[in-house]
Amino acid sequence: MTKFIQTIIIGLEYGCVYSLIAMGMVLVYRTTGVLNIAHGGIGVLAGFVAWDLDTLRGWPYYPAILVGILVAVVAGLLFERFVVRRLASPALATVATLALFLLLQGLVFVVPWWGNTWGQVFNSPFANKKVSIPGADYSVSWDQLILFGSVLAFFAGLYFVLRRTRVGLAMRAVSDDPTAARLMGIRQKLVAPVVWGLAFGISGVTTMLLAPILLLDNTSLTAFTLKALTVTFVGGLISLPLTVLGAMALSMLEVSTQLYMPNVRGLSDAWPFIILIVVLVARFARGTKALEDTAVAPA
Amino acid sequence: MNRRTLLRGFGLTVLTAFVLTMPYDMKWAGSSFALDYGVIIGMVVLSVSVLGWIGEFTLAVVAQMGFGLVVVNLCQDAGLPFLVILPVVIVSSIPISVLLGVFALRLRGVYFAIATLAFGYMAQKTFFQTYLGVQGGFGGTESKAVSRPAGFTGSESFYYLLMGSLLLMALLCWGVSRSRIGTSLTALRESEAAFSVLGHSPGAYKILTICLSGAIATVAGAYFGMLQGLVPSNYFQPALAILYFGFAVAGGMGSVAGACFAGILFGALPKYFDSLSEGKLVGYDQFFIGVVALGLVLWAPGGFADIGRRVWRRLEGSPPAAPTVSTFEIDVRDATAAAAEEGLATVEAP
Amino acid sequence: MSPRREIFSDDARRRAARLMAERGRMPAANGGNGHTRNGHGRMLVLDRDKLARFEPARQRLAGQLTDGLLPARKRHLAKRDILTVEDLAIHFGGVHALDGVNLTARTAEIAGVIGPNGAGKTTFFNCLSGLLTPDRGQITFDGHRLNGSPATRGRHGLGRTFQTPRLFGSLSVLQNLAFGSRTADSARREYVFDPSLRRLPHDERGARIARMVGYRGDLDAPAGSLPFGDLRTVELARALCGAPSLLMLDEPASGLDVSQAEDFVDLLRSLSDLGLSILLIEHDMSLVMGICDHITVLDFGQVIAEGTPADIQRNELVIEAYLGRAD
Repeated sequence: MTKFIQTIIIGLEYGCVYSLIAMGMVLVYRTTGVLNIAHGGIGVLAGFVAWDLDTLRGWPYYPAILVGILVAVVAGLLFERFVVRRLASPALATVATLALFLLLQGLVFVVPWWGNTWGQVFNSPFANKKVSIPGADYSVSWDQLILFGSVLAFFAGLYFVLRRTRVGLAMRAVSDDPTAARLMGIRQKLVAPVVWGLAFGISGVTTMLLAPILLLDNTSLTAFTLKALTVTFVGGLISLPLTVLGAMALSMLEVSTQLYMPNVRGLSDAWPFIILIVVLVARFARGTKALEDTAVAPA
Repeated sequence: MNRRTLLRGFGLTVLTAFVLTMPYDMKWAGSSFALDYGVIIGMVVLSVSVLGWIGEFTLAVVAQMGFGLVVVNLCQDAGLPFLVILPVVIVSSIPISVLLGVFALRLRGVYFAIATLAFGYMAQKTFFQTYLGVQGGFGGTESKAVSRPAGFTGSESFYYLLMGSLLLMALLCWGVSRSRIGTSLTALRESEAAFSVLGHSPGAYKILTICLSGAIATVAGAYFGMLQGLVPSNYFQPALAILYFGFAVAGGMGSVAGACFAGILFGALPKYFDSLSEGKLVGYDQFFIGVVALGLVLWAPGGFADIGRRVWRRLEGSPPAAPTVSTFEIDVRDATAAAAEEGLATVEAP
Repeated sequence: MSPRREIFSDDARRRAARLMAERGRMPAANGGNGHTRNGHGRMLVLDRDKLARFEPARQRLAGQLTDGLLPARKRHLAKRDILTVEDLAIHFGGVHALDGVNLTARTAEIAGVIGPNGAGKTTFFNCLSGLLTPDRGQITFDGHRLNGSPATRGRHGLGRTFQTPRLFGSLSVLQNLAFGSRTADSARREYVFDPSLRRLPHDERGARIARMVGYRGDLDAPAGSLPFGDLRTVELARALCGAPSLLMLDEPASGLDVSQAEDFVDLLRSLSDLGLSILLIEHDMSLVMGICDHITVLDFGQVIAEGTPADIQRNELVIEAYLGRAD
């Protein structure tokens, strides 16, 4: 029973990680057409800034993470203003995010006082507080609960904003046809920074939620980004509910195989790609028709 | 003799001299191993860049390199001489390329790239780990050794073999791009629908290009094994392929010279960084590459090839070329956008 | 007058004579500024200046005929069905873009496909070309079932232009045209409208066909640099280079000005008279009614009417589809 609860909790945890990164990518993609590969990387930067302030310089926790998130938001605004806006197409911007990803991975090492190591411990004030689950020899930490709650809130918020508010509508219009949107009076110069600042800020928040649970580090970044990419494809880069579903499914599969079938080597690592192949086969079988389906799919 | 011819002659001479003496010129920065590594990465980047001709990009190159390694190992175990091994490696790459080509017929843009990534990953987890054993590798504990051909065992001499091979590959690619096949590929890239409706088969050209790319990557892998002497089985990380794709874009997707240049530069640079800083600057190379790539995207989206062309025109005194829309923009949006452009998606009008 | 007379072939001269007779003028017998009588016995003065105004048109006509760009004689071919579409249907998501469409096209005829926006016309063409796979339906082309890839259908003689011209921008006009010619050669196809084209090398063939469709620009210019009207013309030329037996044109006259459209109509009529079958999507009603032998009207993916232009103009359903109904 404990094992089962453990599976669920850890599965949820990783599922939340993947969903947060994936949702951030889907947000940016649906509103700008750019696949933001650097999404996870920005969060790590924010995390290291916060850690720097909190652990190295003794700042209190909440201001430190706030500054970290602010750094991420500002980075988003700057990136939009000086890079994305200058580029002719979303494809180029995607390559720019790839470059940014490399840059950020290296940045953590380049800053000399960040220890030049792979990872740091960064605890939240709730470090040792837990909630035990009745009937099982396992407990959920407050950090984890906050993570779960945040993901739910974030999902609901994003869904609402994109579908129900005028801002969300404006974002989607700009993504579909920037020129027509401008003619309709939507000021792209206002919408784009909001999108990028928001997306990068969300990445910052993600890391702040994760750092107490996992290490604040760089190495898992690539793996998480790749898995989040897989998950976004489950949702076709468009559908938020499918993305979250995919994230949860992936993490559950990974964790269950790790805990229940530890002898089958490599299976838990293979799940992202098995899911990818399933998604691809589904599209493959539908051939060109699939293209039209997504073209008329509701946003 | 006008200025242009003089300039070209001069440039060619300087380039040839540099290429011929590079291992010795760069001794101050580190051993020739770095250069050898760079040349091999140049081959890999060339194989990625070649796919720009059909407007796609592949992330399976790392797996294809691995296959090259395996084939070389098998051939050397069977005692085949080097001159026989090379053609065998090339021919063995064809079935895999054809398989990837089948994917390319139905999938576009990011979906095709993801399919190649999945393929690479599957190959690593199933094929390589079975062949090499999970802890094993080439030259590792469960050693499957791969050795360099006789006469080229030193780093410098191996460089000449590598550089010669790279130049041959580059020449072949350049020749293809200038031939009628190249014209057809340009047409295919600009409008696949028009191309096919006119009675030409896009599939054949796509598979041809993928086979070319695959052959280059597989040979690169064979050389890689010979260079390293030790390759662990978990080397074949699919994520590495994304890095090589980045290099290809930096060089100018579809440009032969740009790909070679970018590959050699970004391949050798980290190694030189390492030897120059005596191992203290970890991660600096990634940072540097990221900065360079960002700069390129902003100011020279055509990559090094674009810069090279512009600089050369300036030197030659020719008027600057009219700005053309880059036809190498790989549509990273899902294939919907591409289909809509081709008039296949009926989101609006009849 | 005599230097100019030399460039006229017999046919051209006879045609010019007929034109002039229609306009009430008789050609001067001895070339002088003479007086002559028309069929009713009225005296006509042969006005040189007024005649001079006909000159450019006469030159153009003569040039076309004597250069052999279009064979001078109209070939009277027996008309036969070349394309039969039965019950074609395709849907995207919940939208039935085509729902049981039937159509027949015949050789030496111009068939029009019209309908309000969103009716499914381009989708129809895409299904015929093979770019889309329909849910059901049968297409018979030239006696065979049509179900191959777009390239196969192109090689069998199905030519096509697109709503927005899709030329290969970085290649020159001649290189674009060569793609069509190469297919015609490898598929060993005859040029329905001018069999002599087959013997020419690609460059010359392309140049001839380009001149025939009225392209007057540089053949070596990159196609991406051409003005819009020329894009359409070159795309048409490229399709014709492929030696099609059925030519599908998707809004070919949109974006052309009045005189360009007139020239275009002349060209289509001539090609059709020479045996080429043409399927036309167009929004310009006067053009459609003026040029088409047979019209099919689509609305919401279904055929709501078909027949001659006169039938269509009177059809209540068609009027309703275009203008709506006063409820």
